[in-house]
Amino acid sequence: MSHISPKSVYFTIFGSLMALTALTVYVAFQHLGWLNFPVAITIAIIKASLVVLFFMHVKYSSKLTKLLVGSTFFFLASLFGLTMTDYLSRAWVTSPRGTTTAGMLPKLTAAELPAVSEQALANPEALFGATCGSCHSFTTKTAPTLAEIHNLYANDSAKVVEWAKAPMRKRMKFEPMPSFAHLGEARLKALAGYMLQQAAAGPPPQ
Amino acid sequence: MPDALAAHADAHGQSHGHAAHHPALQHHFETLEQQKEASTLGMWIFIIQEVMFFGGLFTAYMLYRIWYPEAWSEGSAELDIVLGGINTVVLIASSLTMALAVRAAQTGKQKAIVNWLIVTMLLGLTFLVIKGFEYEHKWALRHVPGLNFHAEPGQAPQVEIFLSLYFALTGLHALHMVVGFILLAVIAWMAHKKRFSPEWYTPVEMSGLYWHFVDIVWIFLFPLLYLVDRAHQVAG
Repeated sequence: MSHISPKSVYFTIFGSLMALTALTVYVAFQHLGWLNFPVAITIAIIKASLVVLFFMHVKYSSKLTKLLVGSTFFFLASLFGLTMTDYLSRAWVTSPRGTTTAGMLPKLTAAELPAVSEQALANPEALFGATCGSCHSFTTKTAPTLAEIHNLYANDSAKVVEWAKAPMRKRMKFEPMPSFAHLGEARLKALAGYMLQQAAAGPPPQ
Repeated sequence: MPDALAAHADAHGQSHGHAAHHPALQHHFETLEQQKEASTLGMWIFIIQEVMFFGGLFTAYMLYRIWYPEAWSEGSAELDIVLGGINTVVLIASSLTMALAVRAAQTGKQKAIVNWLIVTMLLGLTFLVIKGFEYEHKWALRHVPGLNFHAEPGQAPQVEIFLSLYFALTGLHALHMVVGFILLAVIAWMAHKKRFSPEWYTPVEMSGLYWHFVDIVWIFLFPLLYLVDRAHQVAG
């Protein structure tokens, strides 16, 4: 005959579920930064596991039932995992500095920075490709396009320099832009001028 | 086996020309245990597809939450933690009484099965009434996407997406509660008619699995909908 749990087991599980509910509300009001979400999910998974094991009797079920229930989590993990690998990597950008999300783009080291000479700043194309150009092109979907930037700033390269030094996040659909203050005023001016000139010229013919 | 069942089994055995067996045992199963195992597996397969069904909605929730964190924070702040919390307690309590109903069936306490099932149904009804008040409040604020949505000034426009998912998830959950309520009403009637015994109470146990599953969905819905970014809302 099937296993009959004593009533005390059910009351203990109920008490634990109540305590965990109180805990998840308490934790939600604590400043844990990015950890708030994983902690809330972990508590919910523990609560769900208690219900599955004791209220739904899986702890006392056949191996076949246990395997079937376990497979649920496998399919659910596949659903989440495969979907997220796609969507979470859509905002990634590939620059000469590797593939990453825009906000995590590593800063150019001193050795990689071109000298602040008239000759180097006259043609900042390579520097543009390693910095602004990683995200801002005519066809990008991960950041405002060059055409949009042209509409916003036209010839006001000083505004572009200002923004690049201390960017804000206006639109939630884009990853936050990192600051490029470390490039220095001279390089930023050259980059802003180059970018607005490219933007005004329009996309290259196909 | 009660006398009435034994008499029935004897008559059944004579009419079939084979050995007497429990009246609930179907002919393609060897024993009641084997039959119960098959029912349990079948119920779990049904629950797995329910998990995948809600899983799709949870995936949509995750994506939009990652894309529009501000909207999720502002949208969640519109929900009432006290009502959501009370409903969580009510629903978990109904899972306890459901488990006790199954236990009463296992131990053959006929009256207790009916009583625990009625308590479970009343708790389920309490949940739905509280949910109804929450919906009514949302309607009054014109926060129902698709029907009367009106964006609050200064809020991220994607709050509408959050509220759409709120209504889709809680609405489908409430629909499952209604189905569960009807299911328990039928089982309670069967229990009242003394149709179950410690040898056979499969419908009670299977309804229990369904009811607990609906409880589990809410265990995830509560933190995902009501508790988003609460620490910052208090500070701000």
